[in-house]
Amino acid sequence: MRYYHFILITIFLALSCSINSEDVPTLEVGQDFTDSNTRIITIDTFKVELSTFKFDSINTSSSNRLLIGKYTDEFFGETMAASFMQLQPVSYTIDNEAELDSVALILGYDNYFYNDTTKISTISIHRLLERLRPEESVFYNVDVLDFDPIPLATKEFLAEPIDEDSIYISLPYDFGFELFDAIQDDNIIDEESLTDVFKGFTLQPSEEDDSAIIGFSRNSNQTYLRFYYTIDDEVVQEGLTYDFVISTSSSAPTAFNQILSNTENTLIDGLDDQENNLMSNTSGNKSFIQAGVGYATRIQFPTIRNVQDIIGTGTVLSATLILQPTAGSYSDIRPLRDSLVVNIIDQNNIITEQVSNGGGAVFGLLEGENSEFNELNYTIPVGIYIENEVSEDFFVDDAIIIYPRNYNSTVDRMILNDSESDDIQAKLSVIYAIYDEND
Amino acid sequence: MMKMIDRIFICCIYIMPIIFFSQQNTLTGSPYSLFGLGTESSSNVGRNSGMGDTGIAMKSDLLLNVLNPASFADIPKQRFLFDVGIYSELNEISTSRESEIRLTTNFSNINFGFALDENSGIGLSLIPKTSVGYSLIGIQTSIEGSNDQYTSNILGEGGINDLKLTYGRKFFDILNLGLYASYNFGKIEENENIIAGESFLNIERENFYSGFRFGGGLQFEPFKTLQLGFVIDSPSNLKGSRDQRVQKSLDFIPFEVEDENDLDTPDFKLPLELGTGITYQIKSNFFFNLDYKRKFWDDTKQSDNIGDYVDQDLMGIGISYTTDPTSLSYLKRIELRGGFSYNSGYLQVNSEQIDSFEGSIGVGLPFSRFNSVLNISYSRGLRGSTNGILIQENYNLLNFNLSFNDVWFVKRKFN
Repeated sequence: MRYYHFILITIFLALSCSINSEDVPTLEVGQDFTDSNTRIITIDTFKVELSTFKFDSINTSSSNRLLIGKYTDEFFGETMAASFMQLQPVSYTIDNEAELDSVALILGYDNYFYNDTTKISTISIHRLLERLRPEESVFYNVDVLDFDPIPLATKEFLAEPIDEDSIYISLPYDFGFELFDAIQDDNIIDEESLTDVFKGFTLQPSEEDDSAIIGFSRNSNQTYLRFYYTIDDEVVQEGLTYDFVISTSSSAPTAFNQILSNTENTLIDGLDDQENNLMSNTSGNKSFIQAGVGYATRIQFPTIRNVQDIIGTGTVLSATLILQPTAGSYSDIRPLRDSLVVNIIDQNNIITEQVSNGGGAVFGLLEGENSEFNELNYTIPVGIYIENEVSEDFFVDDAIIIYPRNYNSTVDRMILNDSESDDIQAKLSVIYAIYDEND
Repeated sequence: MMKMIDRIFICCIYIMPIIFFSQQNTLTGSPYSLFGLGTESSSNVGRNSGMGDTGIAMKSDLLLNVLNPASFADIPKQRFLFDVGIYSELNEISTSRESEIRLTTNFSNINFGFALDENSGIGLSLIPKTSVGYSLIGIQTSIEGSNDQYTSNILGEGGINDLKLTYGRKFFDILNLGLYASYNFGKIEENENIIAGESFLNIERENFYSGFRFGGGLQFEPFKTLQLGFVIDSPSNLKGSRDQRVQKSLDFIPFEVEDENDLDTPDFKLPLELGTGITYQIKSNFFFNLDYKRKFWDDTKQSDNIGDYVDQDLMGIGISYTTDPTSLSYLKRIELRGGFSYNSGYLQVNSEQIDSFEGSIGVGLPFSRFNSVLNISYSRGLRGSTNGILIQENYNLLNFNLSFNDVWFVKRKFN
């Protein structure tokens, strides 16, 4: 009798278990009558507030590029870049029999240029009157050093940054001989004794230039001060060279770019303090970005917290910021770059962090190049930022800031329509899920 | 008295694992289980399943009849009746466009009953009351305010169980009265996952329901060959509570949006139910049943997304025939059953009620000395229609069920 029950229970448990492992069948039919209350909605009516501000300074000594040139455009006025550099030899020994033939500065193109290279550019080479000794071991775009106002040499040329390797600028023989001779005579034996005589160069564009800002490499095999010499007692006379280069071994900066603009009669004129924001509605419903000089666009979503007022319980599923470059503000020679850096800044416009998501750092990507009307726009996934803004207990006065990559080594610029523009407007597209109808 | 406790203990051993498993399982493949607390379970005790689910007026003399508590008064003294079963459900589901087949197998019932004395019997049963099992895959829905769509999958499973204590007592030989108290409980899980662009949203809801229900029954035997039965089930409120967990991935980073327990969810109301039935003994070996039951859903004022709950009618006829119950020939002792039932359903969609028809056949195969029976029944039914968005479902039920009939109170002479 007892074992009878035991067997039954065992069989029954075994049955129950085998039944339990069964999967829920997949239903292909019946979709039409789901009882789901979940709603997914797109909202693109949240306000997108653009403003322009200008960084007080940008570190230009950390880049590997020399920028020289000047041009004018209607949005940013005159933009000018000049380079400052310290040059020194790899070794302080020259054969005593060597005789200097000539000296020249060779500047190697690094393929970067902005604006019109079909117009004549000018480079004037001036001797520096003070050494590159920064206060905080960094030079900024707004820094400048004393230099001899009378140039050693001036070169006018048509820049061909893509098709040619470099430009060659002859320097006076006297200048070259002074250094060559002093090294031969062991009057210059190290950096200290060199800088007593030669502190470096600045390369300045002409005030009258309206052509292009051109990038040159700092690499020692592309840009160098070259002394051409011969040694007489050799059987076969060969052209020999002795180079000064922009040192990379030094921990202190050995070159930087001064990048300035004159914004007189433009919409952004007068914007000079980093904490000042120029709202887009006071600057023609546009915001401005210019690398090198330091203009950046600040973006806030002042009404985003209204998402909490939507009836029911819900959550943000995605948020995409779509920014529209102003038509006519870009061209082949003033191109838009493929991607934008996206950071978060505080109320004083100090960068606090880079916006990132599960895939890493977030960039604004240029899209629409192949679309029907060639309408270019930048799309930026800002879901994580929006999630944080919405879930904060209080409104936080931070913002998103966007600017091009290589911000300290280019003069790339961009003009964006704001959300009240007459043309295609900036907008934030939020996908929001309401999963409970009642709060 | 010790024997009694012993017996109840054994009952409990049987019931416990079943309570556990019945909380877990998907009990049906019917898409109609999306609504309310699921589809009404097809589980039933073996004999009733083969007779069109009829038996309000039938006795529980050799086989338990859970359709009427009054029948428990007829459990013979010194007998212990035990009934356990499983069933398989094969659903062929079709819309106006496509069709699909699916199979589920599950526990059907477990019942005990025994006589307390000459005139009264008591029983305990556990039967799935409703069952849920659906999965809607790849539903495309528009994102409001855009031209884009999102995809969602909705899966549901679970069900409500009915644990019932029944007592029946006989008065004046021709009148049985019975009462029951039942505890309805269960969990219905719904899992919805949504894919919108590169984002995911996953909503897990576990709805728990529980509540007590009481009812009674009466069986009256004006003639030896005719029995009448009446049953009443009280309206009942199943208290709901919900655990909800919401997760999402936003820009490829997972977030927990919500994880809350014991949230309010609307209670589910079970309606007043009234039923009546006739069992006519055409010959000593030939029974005929006719049942009618009405469930007053209108008064519960409940509705679902897709439709309203309306009063439900259930009708059934059934017969059973045994060539000769006392014959030495095994074949002649086999009980043959057949029946037919109609269920108007309680859900009305666009003024169309989701009703069902079902025909059933069954056999009772006796084994062992004390009239223990293996009941096998097969039912085929048709539910819903392919009109509009509705689904027509052909279901095939195979029910295996063991009814043990044991003599417990006789002292054994040999061991």
